[in-house]
Amino acid sequence: MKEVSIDTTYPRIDFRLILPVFIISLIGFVTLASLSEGLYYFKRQLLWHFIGLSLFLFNLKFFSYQKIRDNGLFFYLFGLLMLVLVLIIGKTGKGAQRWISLGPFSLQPSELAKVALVLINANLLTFYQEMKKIPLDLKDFLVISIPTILYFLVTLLQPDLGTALMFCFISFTMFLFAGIKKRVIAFILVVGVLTSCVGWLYVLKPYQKNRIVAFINPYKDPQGIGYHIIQSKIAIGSGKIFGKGLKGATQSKLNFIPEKHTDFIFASFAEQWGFVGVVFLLFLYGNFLLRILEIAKNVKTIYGIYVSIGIMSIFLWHLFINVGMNMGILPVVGVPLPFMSYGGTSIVMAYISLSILKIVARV
Amino acid sequence: MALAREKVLSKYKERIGILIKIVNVFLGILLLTAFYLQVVRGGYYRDLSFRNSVRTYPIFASRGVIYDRDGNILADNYPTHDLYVVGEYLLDEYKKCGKDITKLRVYDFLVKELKLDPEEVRNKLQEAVDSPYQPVLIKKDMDDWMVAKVEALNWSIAGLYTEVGEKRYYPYGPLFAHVLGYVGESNIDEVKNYYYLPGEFVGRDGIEKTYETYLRGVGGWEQWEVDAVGRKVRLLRKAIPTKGKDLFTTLLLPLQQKAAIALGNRSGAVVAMDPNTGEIFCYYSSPPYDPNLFTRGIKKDDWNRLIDDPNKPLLDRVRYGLYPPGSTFKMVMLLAGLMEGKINQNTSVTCIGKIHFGNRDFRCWKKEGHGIVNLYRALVESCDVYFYMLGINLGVDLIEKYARLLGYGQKTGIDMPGEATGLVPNRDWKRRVFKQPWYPGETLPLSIGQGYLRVTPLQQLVMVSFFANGGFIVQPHIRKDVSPNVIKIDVPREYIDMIRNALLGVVEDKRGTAHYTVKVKDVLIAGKTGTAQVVGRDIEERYKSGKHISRREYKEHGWFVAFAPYEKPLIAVSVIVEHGGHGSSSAGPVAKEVILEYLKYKGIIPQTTENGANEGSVNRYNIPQD
Repeated sequence: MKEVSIDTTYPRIDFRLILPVFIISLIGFVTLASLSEGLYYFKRQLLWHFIGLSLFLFNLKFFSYQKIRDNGLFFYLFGLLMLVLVLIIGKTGKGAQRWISLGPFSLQPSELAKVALVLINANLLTFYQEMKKIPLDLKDFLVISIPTILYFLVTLLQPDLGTALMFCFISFTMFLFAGIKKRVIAFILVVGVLTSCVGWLYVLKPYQKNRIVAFINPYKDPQGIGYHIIQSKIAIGSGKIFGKGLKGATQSKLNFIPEKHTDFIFASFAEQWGFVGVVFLLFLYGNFLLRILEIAKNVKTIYGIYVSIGIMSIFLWHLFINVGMNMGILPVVGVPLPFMSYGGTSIVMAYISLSILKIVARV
Repeated sequence: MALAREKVLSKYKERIGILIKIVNVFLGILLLTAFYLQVVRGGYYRDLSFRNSVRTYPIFASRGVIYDRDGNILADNYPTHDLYVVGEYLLDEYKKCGKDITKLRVYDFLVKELKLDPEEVRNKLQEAVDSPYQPVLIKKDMDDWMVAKVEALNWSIAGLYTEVGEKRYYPYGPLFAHVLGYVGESNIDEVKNYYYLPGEFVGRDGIEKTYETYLRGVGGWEQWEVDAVGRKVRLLRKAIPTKGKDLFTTLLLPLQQKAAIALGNRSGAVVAMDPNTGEIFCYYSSPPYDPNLFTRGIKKDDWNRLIDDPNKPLLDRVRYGLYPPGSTFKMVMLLAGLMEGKINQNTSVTCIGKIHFGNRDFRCWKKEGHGIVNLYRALVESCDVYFYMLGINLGVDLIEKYARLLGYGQKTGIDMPGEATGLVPNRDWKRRVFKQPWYPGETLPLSIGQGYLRVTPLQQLVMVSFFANGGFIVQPHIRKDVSPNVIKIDVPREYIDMIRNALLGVVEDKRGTAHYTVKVKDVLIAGKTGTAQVVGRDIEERYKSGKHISRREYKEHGWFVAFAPYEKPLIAVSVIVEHGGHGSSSAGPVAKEVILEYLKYKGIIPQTTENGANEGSVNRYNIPQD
């Protein structure tokens, strides 16, 4: 008991985890500051990081492994409530209701929900693990998927296909890691393909279809739906090896890149710093992800492993989908780049995820 | 239990090993894509981003000014006030009034105050609102009262501003229409293939077209960095335009004015030049048009009026007017006869007013006949019978030879963008066009310059200059600083002198056809009248088809070609007056006026001489118009 209290009072700083985060954040600050005349985004982003870091330390101090594990269902339901709430009182943006307004700030519940989903999944997987029902058979898989499907459907109503699919990716990564029977995997693949077809025909909104069409052939209508993709690719490509520098990055500075502060900040960065910068940035993200996996390896509890793999998968999918869509190899969906994209909820949630990771790892 | 957990944990740790590989694969995919975009295709995308953000705005070069011989400006550039609107300033109001263009104050102003076309204004304002940072041109070349209204009121109406542009301006309007031509804005083809800027002026006709590359200048440009909505952010580079070169012509303003006044509202052409060098002094085709109408794109009804006008104002009669030369052809006939030894100075013919050839009579214009005529009398009195006989003697082949020798049936080579060749008929031509042989009876009308023969007033000028300068074919030119291009024709001087002497007689001899209309006491003028028959096949057909033919359309065209002073000619003139009747009364006085004006200009005869008489004589001999 005494040892544990020492551990919580003086947590050792995990430099190999925090250093990449700090450098990536720093890169984000520089990019944000260079993009616009004023420092509006820069200052607010600074505030988000400060809040995020404070919550990180606060959680480490006041939350314990047990508290998190016991409150999984509560977190999940709270997330679900927020997602429903956003449908009712949410602010509309880009054809979807995504934000809940809190005075001068806006809350994006779907970011909270990703972490909540990881926690409930970890709870459920641990339960099945203890019941010796892993690898999962079809029935168990369907049952364990219910929380994910609920989040998926509620988010689809916003409508925000990108985030909805993100829930599926995160959960599926966790389930796959935990173990699923092979025929169940085959079944999922078949259902996935069928759902996509039905979704294309009956569910997807025109703007979502446009984005997918634009992704497949951006040059079909370069002024319309393919504009985001083409301009983003031009920005990244025009950076060449050494980049155009902060001043010469015309694509981002002159507003050719849409959403240059948020979803397309990678394109702005790649234009300024070139391939060299991209290699460095991906090196940092790689170190960060591998450090999470390293932490996961040393976790002593099965629940902890599930949580850390879930958190890792949040970051991995965000990185891959965001950078992939910036470079035009994936369709455009509203997914931020961790620690770099401007946006309060995603920054704060990233820190909260890391705090949860550290908490489950220290048991 | 604890053991089982350890087992599961170690299995999961193995899986983490796999996950590490997967993470690396994901990163690898991203890195490879970045490598492809930035390293492999980097140059391509750099180029695209440059084109994205850099826009080049043209600056037009001023066109060269065209001067007459004395430095009078014939074609100039004139500042215009162009009205633009910037949509950025309209957006608030546009949203407030429910996105209805017609409720904007600026719409009201443009339609009610400036009286612009509502449809056009609506479209342009819509364009401005749709791309709010791009200025949209509302009205080019505003009238003064419009500029005043805009200046007075635009403080209260956001978004409007005026910019100074340039347009081509012809101070003398229609006076130099055909010789200068006009300019128009470049078309798509010229922009694509000849590096014109959109909206740049291009010479469309006349001198403006011939010397296009000389007058044009080199346009400049400004390269601006623009943002995604097209707003100018920063000036990157610029190139200052180079003005086109100024062009001096050989034209003479007073002569041109004199020709226009003398011709009045009759259709026809006056062209005069130095017979020794080919410098064109005056080049006037009537009726003219106003080239200023074309400079900013001609309006549709203006264009239709020009096209529908039965007097064809767009036709340059100097270069493209084709007429039978009539009796003016007789000097060519005489030269042919002398050269071929068919006649000499004393060869005489008895004219009884007609000649019987084949199975029909060919009439002389003088019914009672000229009696015995020799070379001199034949030309002075323009006896047709003499030339019928000469024509029969020569035959069509020799007539054609000398007609071509003096420039008929070929281009004069004047520095204009084109000219008619005319037509000198021969056996081949007859066979080719009519599928018939040349009938000997057709040689007779040809001998007096009628029938199939077609010449332009410009060719007539070159022809008469041959006799003026003593045997040289001169290439006419309008640009001043070009060296004369003359070709010596190998003709004995005495033949030319015989014909020149007869040409002098036409004016000076009491029986000369132009004696009473052209003779002046200050200077010896030599010339030849001519009457081009009009009742040709086309009019006959129109008559047969029941169309009304006015008397005027029947009336012949009057020719007068002349040079002066006789001893040392300084000016040659060719005049045609359409439907003017006999050349001596219609074209003769016009030619005289031009010659006198030139000689006064050169100081050879005093300015005041016969001034009143001249004015009077023009009026006296002018044929009343039908």
